[in-house]
Amino acid sequence: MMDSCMDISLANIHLRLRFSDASLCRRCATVFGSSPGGRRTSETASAVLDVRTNEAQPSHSSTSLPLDGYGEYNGVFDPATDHGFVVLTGSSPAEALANCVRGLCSTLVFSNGGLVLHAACLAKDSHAWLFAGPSGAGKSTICDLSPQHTMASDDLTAVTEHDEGFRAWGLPDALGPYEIKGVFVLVQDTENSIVPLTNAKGVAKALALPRGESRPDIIAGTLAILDRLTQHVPVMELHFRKDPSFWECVLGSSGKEQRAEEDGQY
Amino acid sequence: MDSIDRVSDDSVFTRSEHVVSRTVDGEEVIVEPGNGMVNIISAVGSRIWGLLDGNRTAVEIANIIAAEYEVEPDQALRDCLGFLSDMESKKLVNAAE
Repeated sequence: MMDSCMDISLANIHLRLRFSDASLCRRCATVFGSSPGGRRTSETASAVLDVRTNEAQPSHSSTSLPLDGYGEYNGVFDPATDHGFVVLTGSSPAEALANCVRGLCSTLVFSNGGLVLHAACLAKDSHAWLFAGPSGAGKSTICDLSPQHTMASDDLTAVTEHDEGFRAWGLPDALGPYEIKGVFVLVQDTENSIVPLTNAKGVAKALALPRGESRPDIIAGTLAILDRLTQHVPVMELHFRKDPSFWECVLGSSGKEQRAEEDGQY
Repeated sequence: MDSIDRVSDDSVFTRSEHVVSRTVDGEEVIVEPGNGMVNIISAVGSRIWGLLDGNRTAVEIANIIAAEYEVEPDQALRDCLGFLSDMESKKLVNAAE
């Protein structure tokens, strides 16, 4: 019996979280930034995840993928039915669920031909600039320093491929899509500068596999998409100091036509 | 025994089955599933990596490299053995049975 639901949009995928009790739903809603009711939509969920705590695990099919949270959570997801369950076993269920959704998100987006980057996504009009890096690299700082841009995401960005190129969607709210103008790997520094990367280094630095990801087909497919991404979109290191002047480097390296539009609008 | 000692002219290696690799613009990106470690190897290393089919010896690979990159065979062999030692120490290649 599932008492409460919360819908999350992942690019063009709608993931419905069905909680075993309302209090768990409320606790977990805090990490997704809104009340559970606020995320309910009339759209049909394209995937469903049942969320529980300390319950016996139901059986699952042979096609199920494991959701292994190393003590934080444990469950399975079956791509054949787009249905799964997770048992939150750690002391911080909300954070555990966020980590679980992040991993599942990668699987769902990948199965729909895209990938998830550990990157903030800042947008203006139809364009997006992605700022990639692990926790602590400065993604939130970059967002805070960019009030004139729409923050589509401060942590995870889905990238989908189309005939014309690549588009970004902020997660988990699915703001977008935006045409990607550049991907910047963040390095905190005392001065701003751009360091070009070879395509291989761009692929390596942008690669952000979910913890414990070991499926060769997923990794190979992710490398293939990143390979094509680096052929279409500049991927480079951004050494930045903590003020809005880093945008000078960003706009100078990702399209002079945008530079004129953005000038003086930090 | 150091890994360098395990690599000789007649050594035959294969790419480790547990890694995933892709040639990106001439360089090789090698990912170790599970821990997410990523290795990047240069264009020459990428070519050697592609030649590790479990049949060719180190000296045979070095001869191909010497011909393709117009370097002395002795130099190519030293470079090849060094590369294989490095890959072997990282468990990215296995000695062929």
